[in-house]
Amino acid sequence: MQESNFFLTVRGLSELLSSGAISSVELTEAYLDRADELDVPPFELPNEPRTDHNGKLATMVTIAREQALEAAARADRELAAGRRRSILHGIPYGVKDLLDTAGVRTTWGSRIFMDRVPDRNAAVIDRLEDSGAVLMAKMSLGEFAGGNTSTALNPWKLDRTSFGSSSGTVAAAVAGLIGFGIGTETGGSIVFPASAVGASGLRPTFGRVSRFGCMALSWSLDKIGPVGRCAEDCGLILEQIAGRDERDNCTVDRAFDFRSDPGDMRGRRLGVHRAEFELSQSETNRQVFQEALDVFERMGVIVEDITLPRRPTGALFTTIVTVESGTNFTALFDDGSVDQMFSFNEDRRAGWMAGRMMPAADYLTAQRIRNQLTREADEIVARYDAVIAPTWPNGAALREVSGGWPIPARNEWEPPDEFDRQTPRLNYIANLVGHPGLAIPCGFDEDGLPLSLQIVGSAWEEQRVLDLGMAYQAETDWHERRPPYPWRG
Amino acid sequence: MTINRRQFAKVAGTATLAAAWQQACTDVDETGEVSAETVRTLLDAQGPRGIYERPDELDRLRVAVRNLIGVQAQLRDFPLDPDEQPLVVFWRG
Repeated sequence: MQESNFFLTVRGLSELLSSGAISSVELTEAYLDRADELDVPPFELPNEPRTDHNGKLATMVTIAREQALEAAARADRELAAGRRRSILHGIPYGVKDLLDTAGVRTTWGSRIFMDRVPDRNAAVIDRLEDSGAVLMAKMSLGEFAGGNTSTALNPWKLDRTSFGSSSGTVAAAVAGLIGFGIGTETGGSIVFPASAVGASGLRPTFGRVSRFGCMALSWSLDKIGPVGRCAEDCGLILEQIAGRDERDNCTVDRAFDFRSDPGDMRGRRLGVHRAEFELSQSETNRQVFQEALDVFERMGVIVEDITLPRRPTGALFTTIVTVESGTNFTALFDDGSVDQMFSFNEDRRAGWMAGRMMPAADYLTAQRIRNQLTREADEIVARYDAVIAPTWPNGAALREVSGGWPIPARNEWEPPDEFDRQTPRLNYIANLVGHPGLAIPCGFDEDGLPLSLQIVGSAWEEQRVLDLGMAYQAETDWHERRPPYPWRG
Repeated sequence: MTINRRQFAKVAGTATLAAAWQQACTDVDETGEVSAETVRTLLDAQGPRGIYERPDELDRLRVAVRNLIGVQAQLRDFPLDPDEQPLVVFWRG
C-alpha cells in the first residue's frame, strides 16, 4: 500500500475500501506490518518510560493481529454482500488499553494486569464492532491513566513527550499506524496528548459515551472519545460510539447525528480566553495562536474575548480524583498488588490512599463548588457557539528519563507555577463541568513541535464544536502535516 | 479479651478516622507536617497497612495527607451559597 494511504482520514480510508481499491484484509495487514516495522520496541509492554526504544514508537501494548484479520475478513465478506455497516466499516483502529476487549489482554498500562484478558467487550468496543470497524491494537498509556508516563514516543521528535495519558492512541494516529483511535479523558488525557503530536481529538460531553467496560479513574469525570487525523474523523467516530447505555447510568438518551458539512461560519460566535494565550513561553507560539484566530475571523466568525471565573480547579480535581480513584482501587491496596505499580506512581498511589482518608464532607464541598462552577461555565459558554484557548501553551516538552522516574508524579493538572495558578484554564473548567472539547493542530513552535487549540462547547453541542474545527481545517493544512520519517531524534 | 490499638481502630472505624484526620490537621498547623503516628492511625482505620509498613512509603503517605489537608483548606475557604447542592444528589429521571 502506498505510504500516503496510511495517513488518510476516515472518509479517505472508507472510500478506498468502497471503491474496491483495497480490501479490509489488505488494509489491515498493511497497518499491522507497518506497526511491526515502526512500533514494536525491544522491551515488553506495559513498561516504565525508557530510553531504549531503538527508534520504535512503542504506541501499542498489544497488537491483536489474529483477531484483526478475522474481523477484517468478516468486513470484506459483508462488503462483498453489499452490506456496509457504517463509514467505519473495515477500518482498523486502536483503542487505549483501558477498555476491555474480549479475548485480547487489557492491562490498564500496568504490569499488575500484564496478563489480564477480559471475557467481555466494553460498550464502545461492541458499538465499533457493530459499526464494522476492525480492532487492531491496544494502545499504550500512562499506568492507570496517569498523565505524562507512557512509553509512547512523540513521532515529531523522539526526545519529546507525547504527553498523556492517551499517548499511544494519538501518536499512532499521527504516525499513520492506525486508521483512527479511541482515547479517554478525566482532566485532559485526550486533548493534551493530541496537542503534543498534532492529532485531532475530541472529548465529548460527559455522559455522551458509555464507560461500561472501561477502567474507572474517576466516575464523575471520565469520558471516552475519538482521536483521528481531522475533526471530521472525530465526528464520524463519535456518531458510532455515542448513546445511552443502562450499564453506565451517567449516559443519556440523546442521539448524536453528525453532519460533515460545517455550514457557513459567518456570524458564528467564538469566545476567546485571551489570558491563556499569554501563557505561551515564546513570541513564536503567541503568533501561531493569533494567526489561528485570524483564520476564524477571516471566515466571518465573530471573535470576542471572554473571562473565565477563577475557581480552585486544582483543589477540585485533586479531591474528586483522589477520593474516587482511592475508593475504586481499594482492592489493590488490600491485596498488596499496589506494590507492583511502576516506581513513578509511588506519589500518585499515596495520593489515592490519602483520598480514602479525606472526610466525606470535603468531597461533598468539592462537588458543591463544582456545581456552582458548572452553572457559571454554562452561562458563559452558552453566549457563543464555542470558546477557544490553546490546548497547551507550548509544544511538547522533553522526555526526562533517567534511572528511575524523574518527573515527579504530582497531580498533572496542577499548574506548574504561580503565574499559571492565577490563570483559569479552560480545559480544567470544561472537564469539571462536562463540556465537550476538540483539540486541533494550528501550527508549530520553533522546535518544529505541534501547537494546538481547544474548541469547547456547551454540553451536547459537539456539532457546533466540530463545525468550527472542520471549517478551520478546510482553510488550513496543519492537520495534514506528517512527522517526517526517519523520525527526528 | 485483649485488643490492640489497630483492632480497636477498626472497630471504632469512622470516629477514629475523623479524630485522626483532625489530629493530622493539627499536626500540619503546628509543625507543617503530619506525624507518622497520626498517619498510622489513619491507616489503621482503613484496613491493612500493606506497603505503608515501609518507612519510605509511610513518608510518601505523610506528604500526600499533608498535601490533601492543604487542598481541604482551599475547599473550606471557598464561599458557598448555603443552597448550593453537590453534584452527587440522587435523582430518578
